[in-house]
Amino acid sequence: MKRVPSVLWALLVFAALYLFFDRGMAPLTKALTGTPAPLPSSLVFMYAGMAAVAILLYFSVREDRWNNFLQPVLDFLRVAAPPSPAKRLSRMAVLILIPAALGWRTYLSASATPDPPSDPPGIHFNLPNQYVSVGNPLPWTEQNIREGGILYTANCAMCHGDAQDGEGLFARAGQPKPANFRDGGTIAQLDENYLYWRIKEGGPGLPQGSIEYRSAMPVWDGVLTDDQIWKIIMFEYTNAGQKPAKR
Amino acid sequence: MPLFPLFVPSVLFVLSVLFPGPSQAETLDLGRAIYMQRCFWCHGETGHGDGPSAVGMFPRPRDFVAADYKIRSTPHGHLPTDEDLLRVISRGIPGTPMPAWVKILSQEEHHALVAYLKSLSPRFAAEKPQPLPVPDGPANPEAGKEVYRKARCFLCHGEAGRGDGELTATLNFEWGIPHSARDFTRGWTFKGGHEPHDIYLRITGGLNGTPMGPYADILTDQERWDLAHYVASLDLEPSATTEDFLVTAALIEGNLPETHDGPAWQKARMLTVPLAGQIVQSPPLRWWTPSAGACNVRALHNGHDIAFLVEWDDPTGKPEPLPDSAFLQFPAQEGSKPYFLFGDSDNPVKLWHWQAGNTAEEWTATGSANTEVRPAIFQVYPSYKEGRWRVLFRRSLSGEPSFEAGKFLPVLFSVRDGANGESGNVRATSTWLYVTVERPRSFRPWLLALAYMLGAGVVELWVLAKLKS
Amino acid sequence: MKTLHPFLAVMLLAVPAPGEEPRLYNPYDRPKNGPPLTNVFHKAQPLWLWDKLKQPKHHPSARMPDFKFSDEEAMDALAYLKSIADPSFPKQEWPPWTAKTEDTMNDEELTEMMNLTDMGKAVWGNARCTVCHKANGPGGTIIGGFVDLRVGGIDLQIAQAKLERDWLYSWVKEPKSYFLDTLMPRYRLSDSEARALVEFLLRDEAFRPTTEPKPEAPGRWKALDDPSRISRGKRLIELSRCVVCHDIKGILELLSFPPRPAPPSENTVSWLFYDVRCLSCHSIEGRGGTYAPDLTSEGSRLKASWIHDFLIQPDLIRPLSQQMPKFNLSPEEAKTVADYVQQFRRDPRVPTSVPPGEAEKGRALFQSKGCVACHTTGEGPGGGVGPTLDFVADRLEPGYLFHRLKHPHAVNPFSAEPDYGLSDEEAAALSAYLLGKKK
Repeated sequence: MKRVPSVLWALLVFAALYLFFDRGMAPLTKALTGTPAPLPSSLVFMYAGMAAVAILLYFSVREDRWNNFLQPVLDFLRVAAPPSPAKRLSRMAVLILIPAALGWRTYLSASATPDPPSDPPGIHFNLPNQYVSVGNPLPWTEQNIREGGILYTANCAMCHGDAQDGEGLFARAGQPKPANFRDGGTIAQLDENYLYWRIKEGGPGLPQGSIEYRSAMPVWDGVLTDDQIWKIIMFEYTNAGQKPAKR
Repeated sequence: MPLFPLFVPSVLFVLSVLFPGPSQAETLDLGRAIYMQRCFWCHGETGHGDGPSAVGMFPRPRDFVAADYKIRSTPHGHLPTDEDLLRVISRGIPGTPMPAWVKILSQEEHHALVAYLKSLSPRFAAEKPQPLPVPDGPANPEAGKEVYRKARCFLCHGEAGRGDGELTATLNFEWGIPHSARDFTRGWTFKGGHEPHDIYLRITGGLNGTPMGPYADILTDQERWDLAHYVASLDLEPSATTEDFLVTAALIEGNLPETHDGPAWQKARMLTVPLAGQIVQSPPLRWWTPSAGACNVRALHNGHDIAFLVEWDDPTGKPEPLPDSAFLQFPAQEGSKPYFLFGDSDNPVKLWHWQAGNTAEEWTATGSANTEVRPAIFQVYPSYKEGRWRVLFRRSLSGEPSFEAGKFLPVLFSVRDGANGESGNVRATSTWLYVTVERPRSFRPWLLALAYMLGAGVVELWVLAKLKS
Repeated sequence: MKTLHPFLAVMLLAVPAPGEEPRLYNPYDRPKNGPPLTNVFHKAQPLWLWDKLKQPKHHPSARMPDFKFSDEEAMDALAYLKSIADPSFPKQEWPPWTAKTEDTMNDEELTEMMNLTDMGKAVWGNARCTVCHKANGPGGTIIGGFVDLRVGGIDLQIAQAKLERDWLYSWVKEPKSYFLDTLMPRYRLSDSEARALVEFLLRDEAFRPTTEPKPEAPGRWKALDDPSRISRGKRLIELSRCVVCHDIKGILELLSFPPRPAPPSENTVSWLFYDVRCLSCHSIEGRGGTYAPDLTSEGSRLKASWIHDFLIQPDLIRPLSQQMPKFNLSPEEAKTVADYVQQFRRDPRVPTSVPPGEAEKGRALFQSKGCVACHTTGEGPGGGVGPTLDFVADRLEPGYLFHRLKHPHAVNPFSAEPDYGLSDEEAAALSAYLLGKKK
């Protein structure tokens, strides 16, 4: 049986790893945690680079392995070896294709319109200091939650949805879209204080350093009282089937 | 005598004794529990459609006690079937706050809820609603167009189907009866679905409690089937979404158009921008029922000037009682992205304001209460036809703000329908989108590509030469 | 003020428990704004109806949409309206001369006609028809009326080209018998008053069309009874959704309304407000019309006795075009309304009594503060800018007078009366002085 050239091994391992980073993470995380968490393309790029370096390292630590690795490539390129017409043709094709592909990529990236800035939903900001020690003064009673529900449907549901799924009547106009409280990646990752801050100060209350408000969330301070805000928060967690992160 | 026909029923009977399903009382209890957790907020404790948050909603939440259901597969005046109710619960009602519950409630919960809703009206115990048959033969939309004329659909829905008929305008804006006819060009707003099958059922059975009556006795089955296909064919406008939020001003040679239908506009990609009402201010100014649900936006530039064409549907172009108007909003300061409603105290916005009657002004605002008005440095070309405003804004690329290739400028669109009582903050608005202008054509990408190819070729030759030696 | 939308309006005339404030009928809370069309063929002349169907915008105040009917289609619709008209619609006996034109009458008939129209003109004046209705004014005999879309007065300039005599009689006598939800009050006219008003409306130049004569309808009037025309007309009326605004016999009702409550029982204040349609012009707590003063707190302001007398005989306290009509209320009815206003229409800010004061001191203050520049009190000269105070004690409640003197702008922020910042003592003295001003 003929041995598979090690350069082919290297390529196969790299392709498998790349596929796993790019496509495999979503089903895996879904199977493990219930919510798919695909890797962002920047991370895929980084991991694939690390994989390439690791593979090259593996082959280059021992001289014989390295030679085995390089040999087929060198054979392919070396003019001196007695070439069959088929080999000669394929070598020519490879030698032309590599610069052509590089030129094509260059043309595409130079003439493409860049993507507009993307506005990720603002759950990654640090809670301002003055909100850290604020606590929910109200008990999680049925009555408070019910009052919160009435306030929620009157004030919040038009965007965040009567089903707390971020699909309210006006949600389609939201850019970024209103948060879906049923999604495990929103309020379930946050504690009540964070929600209190976001409701009270809205989009304009987000840190200004990044020059951009990333949210159309209104400022509810002055429209809703603190007690009303806490009741709404308790309703949001309860009816969306979530719990605050620190409770 | 073969005993086989008795076999299946007897097995079923034995099974049902061994594994009884939930009893009727249990189903009703479950339905009621779901109702009190999910539905009561709008539909009310007793099901009268008068829940605590029904205030300000139009259409009003359904009154389950009156059982006057609009979306049915049954004849006019009849109750809906269980399937009709299940479908509305699971899909929700587009264009209203009624959510789709399909992902949240299980099949069993859907059925329990239907049982509970039916228990709210004694009619369900007495009547057995039967669905109308729907034709499945071929349909001729051209013949449907003739039916549209013959059956006088245009009186309410308008000649072009934009819901701007004479009758709608009169009822809505002179008599104050808020019955608006469906705009057929936006299929995603059809409450009962926009497939010919759905439309056929609406035409045949009508919509209870609205001027849309049943046509079962007025048009033949085939006429209604043709008409349903004609109406479905009017659904031309794309569904509005903010997944795509970039307005690109396409580059053209020569002068920018001053009309709304020149061939130049074919070159610009059209973006359908969803618009929302007003949710923040206290109730009298809260606005859940703006008349425009979306606007279409296109942009062109010629290296000197930029033109935006904003189009939206409005059932009446009359200047009374309040004028219609439209805004384009940009950040006033380079690189900032102010709060989307008229900016904020630290981040002013610039507004291009046009108002029917041809007022064009430039506003600088730091919040809705603080606006400074200046004469416009842009031109406006408005027109109103067949239920649609088309307003063209044109300005030099340079100025404040300036439009440059490679730069992404936040932009926001907003319109007001005066006849719907909209003025001030009571309006339909988008959130921030971005606008950019197409780069002038250049050889740069070609040159770059050539340079890279040459470089790669040189490296290859070097490697080959090295291997040879 | 905006009326409640008919679909949102509470149309219930809830029966109040004893001592509870009655909820009064608001004619703007009505399901349909258009008049019923079932008997319209008895109301208007066929040619006029045909023209209205074909060209609704012929009349500037018309709010009916243009249905773009062809000549034939308008005729079809008319044929259906004729077919549903009730044959037993009440008819009156009219003297033979009423069918004649003026130049064909004999002297006796002419005199009778003139006497009747003169009487009709007086009825027209007392009923203040011009508050809502418009008429021509050759020689300025009739004031150009006030036509507010909200009050909905029908343009009577074309009465003679439009209206049928029998219908007009029943309308001025019992408007609700034809259109239950009309804004028009019932005036309790006697038979002779109603006949006089009809004659006046059908004879006086003020109600003759001044515009070009209407084009002749195409022939084939006789074909109005053709069954195929009638069924085409019915289909057309169905398709045009006339039923959204009008009640029409035989046409499927499309909108759903709460069931209509039974009218209030007679001789209660609810019934009087229902019958006379007070809230067509007046308003109470935001419900009703905008033409006449708001009644929300009139009980704190006006004396019951004055309200009673005013209802019986509305006197000239306002310019002629704004005067309240005479509704021919009985003394008992006037008392029922006055009692209701006294009991329920109160402003808690207005005191019910006045601190004692010296009338003599008030008389001096009236001169020294300059009140006399605008008001007269029946003692020597006075100004004409403000209302006369000659008999003010008959009209105003003492508490209101005191409150008004203390806070002239609390009740009406736009009042021209200066705020003198009177002390309690001064206000009490002025009140005491003015409370002596009686008939």
